[in-house]
Amino acid sequence: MKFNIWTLLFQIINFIVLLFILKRILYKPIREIIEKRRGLIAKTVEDAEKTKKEAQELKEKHEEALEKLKEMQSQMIEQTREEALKDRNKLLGEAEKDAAKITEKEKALFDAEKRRVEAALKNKTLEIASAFASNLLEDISDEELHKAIFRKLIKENEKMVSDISKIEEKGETLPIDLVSAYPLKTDEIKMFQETLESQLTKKVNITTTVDKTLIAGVRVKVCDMIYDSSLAGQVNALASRLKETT
Amino acid sequence: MKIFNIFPETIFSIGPVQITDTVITTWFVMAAIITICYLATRKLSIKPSFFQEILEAVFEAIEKTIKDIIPLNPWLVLPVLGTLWILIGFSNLAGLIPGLKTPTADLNTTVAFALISFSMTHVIGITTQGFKGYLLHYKEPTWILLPFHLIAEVTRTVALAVRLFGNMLSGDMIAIILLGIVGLLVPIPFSLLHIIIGLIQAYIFGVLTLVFIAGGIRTKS
Repeated sequence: MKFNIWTLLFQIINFIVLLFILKRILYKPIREIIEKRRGLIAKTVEDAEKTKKEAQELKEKHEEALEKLKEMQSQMIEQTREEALKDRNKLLGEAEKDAAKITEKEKALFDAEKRRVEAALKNKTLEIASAFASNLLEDISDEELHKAIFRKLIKENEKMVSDISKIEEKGETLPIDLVSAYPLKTDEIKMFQETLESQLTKKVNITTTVDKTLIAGVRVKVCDMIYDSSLAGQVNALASRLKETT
Repeated sequence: MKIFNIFPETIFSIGPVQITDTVITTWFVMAAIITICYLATRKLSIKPSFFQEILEAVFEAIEKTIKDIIPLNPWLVLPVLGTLWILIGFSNLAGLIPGLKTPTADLNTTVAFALISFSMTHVIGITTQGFKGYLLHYKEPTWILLPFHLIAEVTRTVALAVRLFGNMLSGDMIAIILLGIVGLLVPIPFSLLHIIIGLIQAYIFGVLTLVFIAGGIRTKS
């Protein structure tokens, strides 16, 4: 074993040569391929994360939209319910109003009918009463009563006279119809005429007629005014007054 | 003529230049390495084949080892270190082929590799922290240690060379002595052991180089 400078130099040269060759055919391509793959992996991971993020965003968006839709749906349901309630109340109110109207109408109709029946009953009652009174008076009256009534009329004629004096008659004489239950005597008529003329300071022309239905007493007609002092007239007046009051 | 000569011999000379069988064997080894690497890296693709996967795994293991030891970009030292590993590894195994001598059983070869490792330590140290910065690490932690640093520079390089040379030579010698004593089949287990020792020595050579580099640049931090 001896030191050989040439071997040493050759081995160093060999090493350097091999280093350059391997650098070219081994290290460079391997390094490139490894780095390329790392880059690819990094890019793929990045892409995957990006895609995931996008998917997440999309999902969130969809969920949001769904939430909104649900809210809208419930809102619509609520609205519809409210409207239905309102409609129902309205219809109910109208129905109640209609029912009230019908009831009122029926009541009015009933009231009218009642009033009508009551009136009819009253009229009938009054008719019967007046007929009864007339018959009674007819039975108890006679010429004496008639004369008494006539005399009373002549005596208490202020009211009649004042009423007559209000009538403005064009003519000189005032035509007066005197309807009597019993035939009057001429002096009685004359007395009545004179009494009137003296009180009215006016001439009167009296025409007399007999009417048995008056029962007793007389009825004085001046123009369109009637002054009735007969019993039948009194009964009628009473009856009409009763009818008016009740 | 000796049949089993384990020491290098000069095969031929061109003028003063002597070509020993060590150098010729190394050329064969280099040829084999280049052929294998050429075939291996011919069809690299993003989708690796089985063979490419193994290759990449080896490279990533180398990368990781470097990263663990020195705080630099692994690709700064990987080509030199990888070449050291590959060349020493293949050379250690070349002796198993009948008729070939182990190139690393020649002290000249191991000294050459140790010189490469030595110079690499200084080159990396200087390029990463400047000439002045690199020199400053010799007075760490105190200037008293400067002579010891200088002695260590020499001794560790010599140790590197002698360690590899001794291991390889001993392997060869054992094989030949056993073959001479007991016959054909007994040396086979020793040859298997020799394979393991060869790979381990290549690994140790590379890792020690890495550690020396690290020792040269650690002071920076």
